[in-house]
Amino acid sequence: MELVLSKHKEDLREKIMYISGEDFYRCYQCGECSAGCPAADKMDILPNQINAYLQAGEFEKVLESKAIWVCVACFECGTRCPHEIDIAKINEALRQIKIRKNMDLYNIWEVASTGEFPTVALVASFRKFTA
Amino acid sequence: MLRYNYFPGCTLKTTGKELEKSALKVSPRLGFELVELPRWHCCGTVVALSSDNKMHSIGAVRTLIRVQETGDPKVVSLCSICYNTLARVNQRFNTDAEFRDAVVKFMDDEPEYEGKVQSLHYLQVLRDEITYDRVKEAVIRPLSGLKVAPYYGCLLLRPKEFSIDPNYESPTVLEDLIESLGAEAVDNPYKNECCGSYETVHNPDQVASMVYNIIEGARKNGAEVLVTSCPLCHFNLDRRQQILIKATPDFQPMPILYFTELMEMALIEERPQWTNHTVSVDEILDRFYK
Repeated sequence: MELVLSKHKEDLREKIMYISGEDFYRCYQCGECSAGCPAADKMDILPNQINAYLQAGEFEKVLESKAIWVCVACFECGTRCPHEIDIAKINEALRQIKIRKNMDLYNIWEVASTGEFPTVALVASFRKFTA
Repeated sequence: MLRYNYFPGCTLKTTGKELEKSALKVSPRLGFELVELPRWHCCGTVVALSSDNKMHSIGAVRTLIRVQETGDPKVVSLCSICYNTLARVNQRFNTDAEFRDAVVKFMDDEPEYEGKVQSLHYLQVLRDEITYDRVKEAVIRPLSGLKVAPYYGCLLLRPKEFSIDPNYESPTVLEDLIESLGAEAVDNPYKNECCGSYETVHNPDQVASMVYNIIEGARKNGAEVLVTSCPLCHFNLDRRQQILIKATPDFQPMPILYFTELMEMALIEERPQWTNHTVSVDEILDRFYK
């Protein structure tokens, strides 16, 4: 079966593959990534399902998911993947597509004033979740 | 005395001071000295994973140039994140020609980076260059009877080509150190699992639930204390227990030490005066300092 994508979807696919440098079509749904993910129970879409939706051209579904903001790139998924797909990079690309439209996950000024944080946590969080 | 280039990184000067202080105290007892790099930069924290993002790696490259200028290609980090980011940016510089060209052009105010720096974690130096036999010889207060759970987290072990232990699924570098100090290393089924990392900024409850698994996993194996090498893991494992204490009536707090603090207990005469523990370590210290 050939999947025919609209121009908009074709652009999104190219963008995700370019920013991540990863080929999600190589995923064959073994589920190792989701079995290893320490945050899987907090995700609305599991890591292997992210690949499945991307393969099916359901880019918006994944872009609107909570899961891409739950991932903090611990690299457990990519380490376990028999095809060495670095899903952390795919999640980063998906977040970047939102962030580059200034769709921050949160307001920096409000969140940073909620407590004392290690410098590394603040810089990392701002870089990963905000523009 | 052996001298190593030392890269502290941002957090060892703020919430992670005790990691640095204890390492600076114990290193001379093992015949080496950590020499802080002049004019170092933030490593950029967690590495940029976007193929088209070069800017977030500039800080790391600047630091690698500072190392290059010393004439000694090795640089030692205590923070797992710094170790990992310096190693990954260095590898990208050496394998991604487009990245290298862009960075070199952008940084025309700096000497050109040659790509030869080797990022090492302090634990690698201990194991491979100082050796654990030397650590054993330097112990003045064996931590006999103390049951310690190691906690590696993510960035000492993953991605696997950057693992400080050849066995990235079942590492032993921390266990071997714990045993060298006379303590007992107990297995911790969650030792390689993420603590929640920088999610702690906007979602502390998620971090608390991950911390719960890590601490309960260690406790079920008899651990009294847990050791880590990362200032962010330490913050999460220690501070986020306060959420668990309030929310989970049967939760029993567990003290969290840096591995260097455990070394300080075994190698230094005076009782430590640590200030970074919200979960008290006094009960354990009382056992070893009469």
